Amino acid sequence: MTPPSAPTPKATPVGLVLAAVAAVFVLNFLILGYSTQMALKPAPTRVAPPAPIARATPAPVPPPALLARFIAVPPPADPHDAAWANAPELPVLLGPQEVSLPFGGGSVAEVSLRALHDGDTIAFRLEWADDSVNSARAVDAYRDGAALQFPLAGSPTPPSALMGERGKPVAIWHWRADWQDPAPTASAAEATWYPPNSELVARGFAQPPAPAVACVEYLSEGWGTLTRQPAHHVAARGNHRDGVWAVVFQRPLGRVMPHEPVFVAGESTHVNIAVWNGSEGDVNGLKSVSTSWTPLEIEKLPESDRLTARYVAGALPLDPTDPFWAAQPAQVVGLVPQRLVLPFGGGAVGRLHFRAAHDGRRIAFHLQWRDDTADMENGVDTYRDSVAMQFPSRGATTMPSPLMGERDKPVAIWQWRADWQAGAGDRLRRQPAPESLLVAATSFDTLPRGMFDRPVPETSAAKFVAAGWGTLTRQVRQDIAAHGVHADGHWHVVFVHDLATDDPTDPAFRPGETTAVNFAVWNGIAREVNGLKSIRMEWMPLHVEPAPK
Amino acid sequence: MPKVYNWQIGREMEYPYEPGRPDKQFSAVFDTNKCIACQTCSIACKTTWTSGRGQEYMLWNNVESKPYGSFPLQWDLKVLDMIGGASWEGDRYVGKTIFEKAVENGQTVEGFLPTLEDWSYPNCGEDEMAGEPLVGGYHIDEVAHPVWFYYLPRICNHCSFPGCLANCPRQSIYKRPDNGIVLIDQERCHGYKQCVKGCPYKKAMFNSETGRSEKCIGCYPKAEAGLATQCIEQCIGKIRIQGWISPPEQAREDNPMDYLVHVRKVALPIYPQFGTLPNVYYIPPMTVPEPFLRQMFGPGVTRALRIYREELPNDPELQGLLLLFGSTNQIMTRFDVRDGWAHGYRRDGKEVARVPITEPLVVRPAYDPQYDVVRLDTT
Repeated sequence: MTPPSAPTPKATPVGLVLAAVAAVFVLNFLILGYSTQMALKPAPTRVAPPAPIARATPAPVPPPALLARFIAVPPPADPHDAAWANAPELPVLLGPQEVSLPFGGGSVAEVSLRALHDGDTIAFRLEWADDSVNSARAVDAYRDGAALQFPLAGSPTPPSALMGERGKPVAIWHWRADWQDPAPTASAAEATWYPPNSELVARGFAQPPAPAVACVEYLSEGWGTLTRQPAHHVAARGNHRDGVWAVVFQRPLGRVMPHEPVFVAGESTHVNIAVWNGSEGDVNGLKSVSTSWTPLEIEKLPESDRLTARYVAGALPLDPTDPFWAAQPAQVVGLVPQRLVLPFGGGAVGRLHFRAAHDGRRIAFHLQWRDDTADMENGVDTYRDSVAMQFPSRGATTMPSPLMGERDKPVAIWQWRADWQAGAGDRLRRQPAPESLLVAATSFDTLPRGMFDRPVPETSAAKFVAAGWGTLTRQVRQDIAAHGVHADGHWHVVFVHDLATDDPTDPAFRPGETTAVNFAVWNGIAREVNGLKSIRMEWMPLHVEPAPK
Repeated sequence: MPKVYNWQIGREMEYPYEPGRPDKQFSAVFDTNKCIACQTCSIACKTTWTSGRGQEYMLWNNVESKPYGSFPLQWDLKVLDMIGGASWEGDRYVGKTIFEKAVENGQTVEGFLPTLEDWSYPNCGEDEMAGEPLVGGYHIDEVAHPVWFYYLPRICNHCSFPGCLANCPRQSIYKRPDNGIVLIDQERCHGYKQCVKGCPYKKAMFNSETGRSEKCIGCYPKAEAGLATQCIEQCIGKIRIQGWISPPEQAREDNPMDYLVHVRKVALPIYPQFGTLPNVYYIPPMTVPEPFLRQMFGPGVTRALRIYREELPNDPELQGLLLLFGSTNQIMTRFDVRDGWAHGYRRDGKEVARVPITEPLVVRPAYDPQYDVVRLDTT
């Protein structure tokens, strides 16, 4: 177990100040936290002391891992859905929290943990025994709750399992029974006498964004640092049946905000659990918790090992919603965060659906991935959604590096960007306080044209050549068509290009032969740009079906 | 990472690129004691360079009131906070530079990307005072005022170790070898905003119209012609002087920049602890309490304030040079002070400025015997 994050006093002014702050913090905790407990706890109702509690045994080495199993259908939000039988069950022993004041809890000795993912969504199911439902918001009672905790990406070793530590934050997803089923609303007459302070309620620290969500996301860097995330992407739903709580947490597999845990299919991370029992007066540090992380393995996607561009006779539609594309079989491509070169990161998109076809003259690619928001603006403080395909250039004599090529072995890159498609900016351009400053409407009209990264006006993609990181260079000829549509929480993007050209930097698509392809996806809302992207670490073989003679 | 020597922090530090010194290094000195925040510099720059679409919010030159003003909001306090404060032992900086702090976090440069809102209030904190509350009948008789604020005019510092340049993943930013001006190649820039994040002074700005970042270009077409920048030439308070600064070991006493920065050391770098070796220097405001100035200009403040407060009244050479500020639109490479006059010379030796140390004083008597009238000063 890692020691608490409170800094040790040093013989420096800074150290002393920090130590003093820490001391005040602990004192506050003692005086306010503990006395509040004592004052609010309805002592007469606690007739019998809690039964002796089985203590958590030290975790065996290696601890058993939770497997988030892949299923082909979206993981269910209902905790009693039959699909949960597909997920292997992992019992996790809990004990009272006895590292930081207030010590206590521990009435829940064990939870059963399961996880499922379908490449787009990951879901966790917690189950524990609890005879009573405590969901009232009352001045003299506490409520049932549960929380999952994950390390953020970027820590080579996981932080303290007990709410993280300074500089090594953890993400915490907190479900509470009272958020899910809030106390009955006041009658109309009562509401007139005591109007609800809706503004205060809406802005409260511990309120979920909507009752249907019932979960709040936090970051923590040690005790007392719990901080609410600016936005929420986890939904949780609990169900109490036959003396057992079952709660399901769901989130997109790829992260949506920068400070969220990254779940990558085929890779491992960690999870920890805490449970509060309202009937025992559990709140704050009074909880049942595991003192160590549980390893979490996320099952690899059943990926295609070779992609195929099918031969079709007839038109290749640029419109991604054309029924032609739905009729083509989709192949799965798994993506991982870019971790080879600064700035390391990305990983908001874990999976692409790939479709491709050619008619002997042109070749078309249809890429689809989950993204709940269409980020069309590349503004002063915003980023845009984007996707890129990469192929070995015809001029490369041997296979280039799959990570943007290498010297003398160039790659061809086609990039589609949502902001390019959105147009030349007027509709989407936000400017700080523009009305207060002088603007000449025409002076820069010529600048955007013909500049490095602008595609030709009638399309929304650009062609580049690269021979290693930082060498991305716009091709002279920009003969690429691309179009994206955002629908049903997914981007659908089609690229259309000539099968053969006389430009040696273009890819070599020869019917009957196999070349290679790599992908990159950026999610604007997760502030992904540049090297912050989801990619493949290896080439994916791409077979171009032979065309009939 | 290569080691470079940064004389402003008195030690070596890590920087992503090997050091390379330009033939000449763009430099300027701003005397904060004379700035009245008229914003003529800001407007001179704005109308010259940033009047286009996508540039509406940009102020390559801005003037902010300290301590409460900042553009973008809290730029300096945020960076100071990110590098973990800043501590000095004598003239040696023992804290972390933005490059050294970044290594701890697996980054190239420690920095932040301001939000849209951060750029929206260029006059935030204007003229707001710090210090004791004002009471009726208050009289200030100390040199460091208990109630204070001052104006800080800011342009790109054309640093010797630029944060923007270090953080650009595409090597789109370069220092011109002939004059050390830091420029963004608009053909190579891909709009990643990494320079905006990497510049601790927040003088790189993103243009959402062109999809590229832009910054102060040091008016390089004027520098090529031996002329001062728009903001320096148009300064009506004559608080600014532009020149070419030498490394400390090659300092020349007759070079205005070297004299102010290296010889007399009255002009100091802004936030030297960031580690970028900025080339715009400031004469600190003499009315401001020293601890705040030490945070902003480093440990040289004590000496600079003493010279400005105590030695300047009896030092005709320094007086002469301060009077040459704003006296010509040409870049002076040499100056001298003789017989009560200060002279400034450009690169080819031609005199381009001449100012008296003491302006001739003419006292006009109230009674005019010629016309037998008493003059009334009614205007």
